[in-house]
Amino acid sequence: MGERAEAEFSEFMQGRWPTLVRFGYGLTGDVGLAEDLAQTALAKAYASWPRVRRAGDPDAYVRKIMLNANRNRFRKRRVAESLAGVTPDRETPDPAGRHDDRAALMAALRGLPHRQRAVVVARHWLDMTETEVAAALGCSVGTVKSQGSRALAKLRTSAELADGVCHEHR
Amino acid sequence: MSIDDERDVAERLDGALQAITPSPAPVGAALRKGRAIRARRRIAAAVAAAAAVAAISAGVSIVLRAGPAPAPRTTGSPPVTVHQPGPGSPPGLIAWGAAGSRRWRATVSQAPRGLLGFCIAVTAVRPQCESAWYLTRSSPVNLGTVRGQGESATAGPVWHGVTRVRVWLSGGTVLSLHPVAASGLRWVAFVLPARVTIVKIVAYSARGELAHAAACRYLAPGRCTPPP
Repeated sequence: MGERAEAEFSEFMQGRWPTLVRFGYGLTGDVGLAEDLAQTALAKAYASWPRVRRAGDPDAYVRKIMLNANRNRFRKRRVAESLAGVTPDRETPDPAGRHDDRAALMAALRGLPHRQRAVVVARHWLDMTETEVAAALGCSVGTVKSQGSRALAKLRTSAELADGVCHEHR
Repeated sequence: MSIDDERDVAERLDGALQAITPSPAPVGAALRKGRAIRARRRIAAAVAAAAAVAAISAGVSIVLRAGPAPAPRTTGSPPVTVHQPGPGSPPGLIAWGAAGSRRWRATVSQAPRGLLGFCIAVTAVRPQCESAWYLTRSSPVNLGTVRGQGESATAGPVWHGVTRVRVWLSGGTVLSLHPVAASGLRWVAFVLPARVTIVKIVAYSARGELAHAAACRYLAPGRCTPPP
């Protein structure tokens, strides 16, 4: 691949990096993991850059890889996430004191099964359609709908969000 | 605090995620990693082809299931046809046709006992995975022929650049075979009825003739002598 492709990809990555890391944080609850997911997905996109560009939607390609990689994290290692209530150290300053609110939401998200969490973040933060989420997750639109409904139902009744306190789960 | 509706979720999520400050984009690392992935894919493709050669024992065995007896020959050569699979064909199907009055299908599937390699099953009734094939880089087309109950089945993988394989048969029929992808390789296959033999095989790329052979196992320039 030539310099032109390299420059094009670099510009793409610079522009998408913050959003992808935040997306990954929504999926994993960990900034380091989020950056790993994003970097791996972008590297894979670069490895197939001509084809990815020709397909016309490199964002969709990268998001799909991130979702798959996150799913594989659970399949391969049967990761039992530690639902720590500790907030990441790389947060922006919080003069309005919204820290507890954010921490409570992230704790509630981490309490969801990983697929429901992926649906919530993809649908309600990235604004992906149900069809796009289904394609990225490799499931049916019906599954996306049902997973999304269950996730919202759980969030509505979550202890973390009910009293605004970040609970630790063991 | 509670989650009231989807907009509420979206707003809270946005607030929580926008609060994260990612480190600077590691563009250099992603470029290096991407190049390494590309290089590994190229190596893996070469290794897969070599592994198919190394792991599969030489020798071909194809069993043709017993089927209806071929119609007695009256005049001329028995009909021989080869067709490419169409849309919606079963996975692994690489060709189908008729050898005289017997119909056949050639399919590719993973070899039994976990061997790296493939099986070609040619049958007039039901597929049977019986044989394994290997690819040699020195031949654009690597064909093996096995004789059954009257019929002979010929099949094998071809190089990526081979666009067509033409087979001249005794009796004047010329088969035009188009490679079909299955299990990571591209294949051609055909079945001949009894007393019909291969006269010549020629492989073509997009630029023209690649190699030819006459009634031989390996198809490479100068490797086979024409039949007497």
